[in-house]
Amino acid sequence: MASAGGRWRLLEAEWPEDPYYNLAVEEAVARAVSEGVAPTTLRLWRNDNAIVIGAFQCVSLEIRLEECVKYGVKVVRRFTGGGAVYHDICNLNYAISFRRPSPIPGDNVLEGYRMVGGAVITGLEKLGVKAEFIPVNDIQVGGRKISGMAGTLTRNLLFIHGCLLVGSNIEILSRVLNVPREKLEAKGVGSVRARVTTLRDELNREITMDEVKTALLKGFEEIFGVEFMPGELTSWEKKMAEDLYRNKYLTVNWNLGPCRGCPDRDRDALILRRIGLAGGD
Amino acid sequence: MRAEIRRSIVYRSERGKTVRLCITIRDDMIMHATFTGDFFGEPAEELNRIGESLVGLSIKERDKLLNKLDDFLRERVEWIEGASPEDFKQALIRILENL
Repeated sequence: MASAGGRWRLLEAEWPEDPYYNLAVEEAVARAVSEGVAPTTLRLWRNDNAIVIGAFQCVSLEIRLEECVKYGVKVVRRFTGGGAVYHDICNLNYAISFRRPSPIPGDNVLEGYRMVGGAVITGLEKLGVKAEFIPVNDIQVGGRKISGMAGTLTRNLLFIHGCLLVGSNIEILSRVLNVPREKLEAKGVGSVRARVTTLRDELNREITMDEVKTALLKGFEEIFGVEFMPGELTSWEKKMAEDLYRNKYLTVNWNLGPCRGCPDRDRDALILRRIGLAGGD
Repeated sequence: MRAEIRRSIVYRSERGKTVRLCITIRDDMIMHATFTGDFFGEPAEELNRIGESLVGLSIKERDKLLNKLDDFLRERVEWIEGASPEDFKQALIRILENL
């Protein structure tokens, strides 16, 4: 049956052991859609044991790097803003790239969070979990965050991605992220552990990633009125991903971000290399 | 020569996001300033350079600092969400008040 919103590509391309390549693919797909060489695309994917930091954040302020060394947690910067998140193999990431004009009212990032969040919430309902969208970019269950989103808007692209905590290791998450006291207080909680929940905890049972993916796809189909066609990375996207991987996501400069005058930058660079960063400056 | 003063602040924006400012001052002059945080916006390379607009200016000239910040955000940043220009100014004001 044809749907009102047409057919979107579904990508399940992932490299859980290489978060730098995963993020390179994330940007390559977004660029392909922006350039008009790929259709609207939903990508479902996972990292294993990595922190993905926001484009405008400071590594040494947001992340407990010594804990990352202890737990073998890699650190990679994404191309969208927002806060640092911990990814493990029990999380599911969703990323949707719309070429503008998009189905999001006004091609607006905040409306994008609301509508993509609505699709995720509808998917969670299919699993028996009642979640709600909390502006600016959070999805919560019973006051606890289960998913956060980030996104960007450029001339031809509206891009939204997020991370759903399916069965994440909250112990490691709470040790490696250095959430400011001011932020926790504003949320009315004393610790990261009290602020987040997982799908497994809410359902009080184990859940497979396939179950979660099926439910999320139904949520997207309902909210956007689309059908999904399984697809693969194009040669254009693979070439772009390889270029971004070598020249951006594996570099110290990209991953340490804006704090170029920071006296701790050399120390942080050494730690990033210890935990897996293999590229040049 | 007087020692460098390094300060940082975490400012909670009205829209619920965090703006952090790290600043280094020598002889009342800003040597280095970086705004970071969990806000969103474009172009990313300009958002990462907001603090550079303050480098070389005196901390005694508060209005000039605030105007520079305003000018940079107005002229170089296409859009920003989660934090407003006022939030960046408030972070700067608070750090100057606590030197």
